[in-house]
Amino acid sequence: MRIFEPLATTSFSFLKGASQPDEMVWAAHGLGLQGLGVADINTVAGVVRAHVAAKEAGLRLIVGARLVEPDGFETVLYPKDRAAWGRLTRCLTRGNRRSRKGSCTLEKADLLEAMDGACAILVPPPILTQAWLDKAQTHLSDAPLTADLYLAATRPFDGTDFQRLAALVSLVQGTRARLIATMDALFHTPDRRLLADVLACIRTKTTLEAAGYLRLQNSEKCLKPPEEIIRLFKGFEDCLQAQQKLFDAITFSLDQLAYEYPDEVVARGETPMDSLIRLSELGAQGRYPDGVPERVRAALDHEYALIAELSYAPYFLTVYDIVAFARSRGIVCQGRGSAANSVVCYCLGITAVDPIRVDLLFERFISAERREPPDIDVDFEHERREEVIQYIYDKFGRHRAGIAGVVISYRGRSSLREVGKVMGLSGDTQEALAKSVWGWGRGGVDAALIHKMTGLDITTPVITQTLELARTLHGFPRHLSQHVGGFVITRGPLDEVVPIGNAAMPDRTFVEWDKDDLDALGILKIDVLALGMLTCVARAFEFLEHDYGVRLGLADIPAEDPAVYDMICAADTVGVFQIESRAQMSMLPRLRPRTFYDLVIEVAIVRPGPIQGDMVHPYLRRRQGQEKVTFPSKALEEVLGKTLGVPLFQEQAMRIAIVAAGFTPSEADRLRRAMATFRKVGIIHEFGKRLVDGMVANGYEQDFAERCFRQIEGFGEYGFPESHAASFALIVYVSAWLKKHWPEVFLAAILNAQPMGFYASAQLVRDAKEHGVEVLPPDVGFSDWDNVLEARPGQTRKAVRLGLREIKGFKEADAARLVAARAGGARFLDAEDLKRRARLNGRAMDLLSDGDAMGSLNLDRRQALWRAKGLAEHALPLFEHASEYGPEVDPALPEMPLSEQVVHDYARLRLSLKAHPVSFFRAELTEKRFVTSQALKTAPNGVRVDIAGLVLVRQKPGTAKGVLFVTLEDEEGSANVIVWPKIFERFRRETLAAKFMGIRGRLQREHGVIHVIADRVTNLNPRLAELSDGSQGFTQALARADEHQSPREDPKLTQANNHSLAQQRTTRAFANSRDFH
Amino acid sequence: MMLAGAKALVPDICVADSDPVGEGEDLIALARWAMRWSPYCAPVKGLEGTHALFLDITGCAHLFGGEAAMLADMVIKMRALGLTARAACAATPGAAFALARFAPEARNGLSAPDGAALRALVGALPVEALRLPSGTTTGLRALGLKTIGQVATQSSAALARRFGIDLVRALDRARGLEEEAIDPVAEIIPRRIRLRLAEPLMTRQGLELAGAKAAGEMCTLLDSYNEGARRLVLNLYRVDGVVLQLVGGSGRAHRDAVLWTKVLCERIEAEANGAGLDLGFGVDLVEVCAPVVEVLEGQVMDLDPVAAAALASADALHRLADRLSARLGVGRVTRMEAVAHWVPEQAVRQVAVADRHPQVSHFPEALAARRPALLLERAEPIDAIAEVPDGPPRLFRWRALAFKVACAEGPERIACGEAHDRDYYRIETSEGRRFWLYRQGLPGKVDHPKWYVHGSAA
Repeated sequence: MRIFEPLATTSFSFLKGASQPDEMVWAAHGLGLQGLGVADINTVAGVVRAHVAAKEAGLRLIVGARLVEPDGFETVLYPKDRAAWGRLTRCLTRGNRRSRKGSCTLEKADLLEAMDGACAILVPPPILTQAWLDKAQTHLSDAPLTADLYLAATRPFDGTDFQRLAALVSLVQGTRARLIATMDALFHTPDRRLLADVLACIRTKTTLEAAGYLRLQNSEKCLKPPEEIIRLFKGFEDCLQAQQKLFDAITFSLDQLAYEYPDEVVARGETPMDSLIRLSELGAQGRYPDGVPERVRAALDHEYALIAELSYAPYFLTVYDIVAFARSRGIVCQGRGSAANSVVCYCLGITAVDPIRVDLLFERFISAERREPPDIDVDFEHERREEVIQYIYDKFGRHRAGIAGVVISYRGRSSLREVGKVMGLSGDTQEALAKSVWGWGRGGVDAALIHKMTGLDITTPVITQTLELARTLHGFPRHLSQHVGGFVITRGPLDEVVPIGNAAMPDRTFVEWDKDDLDALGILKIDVLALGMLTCVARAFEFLEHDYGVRLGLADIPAEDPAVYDMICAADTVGVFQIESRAQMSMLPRLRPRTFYDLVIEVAIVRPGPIQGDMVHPYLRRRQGQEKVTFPSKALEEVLGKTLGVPLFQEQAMRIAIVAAGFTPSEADRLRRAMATFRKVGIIHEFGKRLVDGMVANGYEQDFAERCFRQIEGFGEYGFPESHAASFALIVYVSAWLKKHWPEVFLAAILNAQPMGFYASAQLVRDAKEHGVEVLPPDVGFSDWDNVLEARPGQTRKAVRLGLREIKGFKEADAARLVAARAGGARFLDAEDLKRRARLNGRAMDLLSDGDAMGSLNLDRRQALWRAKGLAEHALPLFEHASEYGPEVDPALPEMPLSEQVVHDYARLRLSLKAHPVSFFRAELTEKRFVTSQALKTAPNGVRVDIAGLVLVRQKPGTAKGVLFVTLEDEEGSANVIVWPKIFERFRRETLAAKFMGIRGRLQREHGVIHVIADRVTNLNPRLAELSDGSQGFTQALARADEHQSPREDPKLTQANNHSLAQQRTTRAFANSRDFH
Repeated sequence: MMLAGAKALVPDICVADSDPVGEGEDLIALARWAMRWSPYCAPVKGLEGTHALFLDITGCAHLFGGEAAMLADMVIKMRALGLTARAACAATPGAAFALARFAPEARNGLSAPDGAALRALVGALPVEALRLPSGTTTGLRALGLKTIGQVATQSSAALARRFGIDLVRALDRARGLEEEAIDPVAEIIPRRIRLRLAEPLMTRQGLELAGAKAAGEMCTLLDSYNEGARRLVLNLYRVDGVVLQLVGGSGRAHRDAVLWTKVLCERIEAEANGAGLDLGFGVDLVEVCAPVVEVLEGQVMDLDPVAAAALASADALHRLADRLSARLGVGRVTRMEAVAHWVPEQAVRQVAVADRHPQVSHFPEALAARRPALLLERAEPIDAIAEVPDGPPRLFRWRALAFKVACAEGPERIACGEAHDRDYYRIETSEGRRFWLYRQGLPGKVDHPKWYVHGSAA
């Protein structure tokens, strides 16, 4: 007899199922079961994973959902065909849409409709009640005739198994239904019972100790081998035969959902391929006005053939449609992804990267053999992405377009915290444990480290058990959420493909499958993403046209401009897309990019993948000619030719697995996916061993093979494929070109696109000033909301006028009224006039005064504040000119010293055009032998130096083994500091708390990159207080006075009290550094 | 600063939740303690978590040798309590507050002059000393008005227009020009009854009489406050200075004089019979205190006779339990309580009757049907012959008697950890006796499972 398991619940029955879908599948396969049915509670979110695993294992799988009505009545539905699947997903969609996020309220009418054409299994509750028996009876008689009806016969070992079976037998007598034998599996192996208990505790927010009957009585709800099942149902053989009948009746497979591409993008009377060729040829004429070159022609024809063979034309047409819409609205966009770097996409305008120029081969990304769906992501300027999203909804309808889901999973820390809570560990212990498991998925828990960090004895049973459980929980789905921009578009109604649920945001919905699921099923998905830099570029193009009459688009930027590459080589790249980070900047002088492809490499090389695979230095050595370029084999020369024999891109790593280790393409892909979710530690090592052994067997060096594996490991999580790098490199080039040739335009544009990128406004402004851009302060007489360009008398190039948006807290609507009131050259006469005409409230006036934006009214900051505060909140029109309190004499307010002005500038504008805060300390710093960041450039290598500056960035990259990178800024520039772990531990507080930091260290110069290796770190924050309180301030006076007091008690008390107040005030003015861990 | 940030700075930082309520209570307690200097004492919750006490010392200073000596005394006594205090004395609360918090001399107690001298002293203090919201002080600072003196040079009308009348008032208060009402704490009255005896008591009987009298007065006292006690402490002060302490408790709060008398007398009797009650040369002071009291509204008699009877019988049970507990010790009088646990012997536990929160845990009805009426305290091993691998027993021998199984129901499998998992069967022997048996160790897990009898039907 063929034995199946018709009912398995997976982890996607959130906090109930204690095994992952693939674990269930592989266990069923291993036990020798003929087939498996996977159905989760009111969802089909996990079935694709089971489907993928079942295909791999060669196991027969049926998929459906366990529909639970509000009263707890459970019916499992397995659609028999495609149409029934549509009814099931529609039923779930309805249930989801009428509930809040994460829940599903089903009604009987939905259930009966979904039963049409499905196999329905009614699942009895743990204890049979008359109410249930009655309801089951009516369900059986109300069910449509097209439904096959079953009742689950289980063996829970609760002492009443046979009584229950007898009751069920009498229930089905005289009905169409039959009993079906099942374990109603909650986990794939009995060992998971404890985890199931833990999940139940998490679900009900209790501890194991207090869980009581919430815990499972025994471990019988697991998959069992066929012989055992036969034995358990001795005397009930009919139940076993019903299994075969169930599986025979179902013809539906998830594969039937594939490639339901929308068809309205195809012009009337044309085939999709006709449309694609017509549009591409049209585009090609535009791209190559002098005639399409031979190579491009050949590539185009080749791509047409491939696209036709795989029938991907509707996909390309859909992306084209969206991009064409964006272009018609002047929204800047750029495609990336595996299929984006094709000549077809270039001609269609989906990407501006000429693939011929970078020699990217289409097949490398789409292979006929793998039949994986094409993948194109499109980046849009972030402020206008919503327009594109609305267009997609309008064009395809909300019933056919939806946003992809994301599965939020338990990660190391969250799983430890949850399990710790359930195990009854104290908050401190949970915290301590959670803290000590950074990236533990890879190598397990370091007992000694935990002991050192937390003082916990890891061998205590409760701790080991907690760690063990948490490790199993790691990677379990927690809930579904909405993807940032992945759109699913189908030909028919979307809710007949996949259930749609409510998102947390009102009126937002998303489908239950994530992008891997959609990929696996070949459902059309386009990522509509937002990219801040595209906003900046779009704004820059607008400025160029508006202020200088220059019209440019992404594809029109003059290519390969040596001046741009000169700037890049000098690491003069503050604000440039991607290559502005400190790590990138220190790579630039070494890599010295001179061509577009060099930029592609630059973008990809400073990533965890190549760094972890130790590929960076070999590449640099080869590039600098210090090492001969050799290839491990002839076969790999083809793969690695462009990168001098060193694998740098994700595709290359995958190709190595195929070419050198003999993987099949789909195995290579599985390898990458396995890496991405570190869950299956065992499988990774298995793959790793196979890869390394395979390569060694094919004559490669062990060391090279291992490095390749490490790199793939790194790629898994932070993949950077060549196709993405190429698209990004274009944006790198465009932003660098703008910065080089139009620095004022670039500054205004990037400030308007904030927040984005690595640097704050202050650094961007400073950098621009160093490049000769004049920057003017915000002013009620001249500024708009946005930063704008302002003509200067006698100059061809304009200055940047900071916008009112730079004033922290100022509202856009206020700015709009202010600008409108000023229109037509009607200047404001004074503060009162401003307040009245722009209808500003007291708060807005305060903000403008504090932002020192009343210069054109001849009011300095303090005068403006005094005036602003003195104006009545709501002037009545009749008394507009008769001041309520009568005329007032302006008081003699103390003049604000420059240093205090700077503090206020920083507090309100996040930058100061007046002076750099450090400059006020320079005399004293020089006296104490501190040097400026400029002086570092000429100082000899290895010399001891002292530097001081504001902390811009603290960075502790995961790849750098605990090394902390700090960037300091003084009035002359910035300096890079490296703090080794030992020094960090010694000066931990100083290093982490300082906003104004002093460093004593050794200067290190390598390939033109200068670092200071810290020996000593000082926190100079207290000194910042002097800026606002000056020498006449009470702080100092008191501090000195204190020294003469008789020290009967801690003399620091008063000083600390007053000082800390002053310090808090001033230190707060300086923005926090951007810290990355 | 966020906690995470603080932990990054100091990994082994000690973390405690902020407790504004507790701090407020502590401040009140401190205020009561500070009534040693003046009966007119008020806690002041300052802005941003600063705390202070205001004392009106009018007419009190001379008792401590003048203002300066008094302030010094305050600082020293506070320091002895482990507190860091700063004290200043001035014409108005506002001025005193400003000086105490911001004048360096306040560390040892500062007795400020009046009039212009006071204004000069206060004028040098930062604007934060005005006890105004931080928005106002930052506003003043931005204008360059950083000290009270600088603010005071501006016209009041101009200031009021910009910062509200509160600023002008605060300015006057700080500069000693305007008084401010303070709200002193009230004294707490302890729930305590003392009987001073002209003749020292030497006998237990006398003691019991005195105890009963004190308990009765205590209940009257509690009644006047609508309170009840769970515990009464009987302190017996012997003439030689030794204090004997006896504690009587109850499972619920009440103020029933008869009951309390009984409980206290039981305690006296138990003590006398036990360790012995050494009254030495006699007891000349008997004291009864209620250390913790609960609000207890007067009870309304239930007019429904059935409910009233049930209440009375529950009450009677309480009384019995209280008396037994008083005599035998609180932990010795227990009752059974159901615990939610699958393993039968762990599904019940004993708890003290007087346990404050009797927990009624739910025993599922369906489960009750599967369990025997009588559970043996300890499962007893038996020899059994059963079907392999997991069939019910056919024959078994228990306490030297052989039984033949006529019919069996089960198994009910209960996980007890690996090799100890149990399969329970409800069986009926050929003689009609019913047992609850289990096999320990599941087939496939252990080679030779053991059998036990764990219960029987009546």
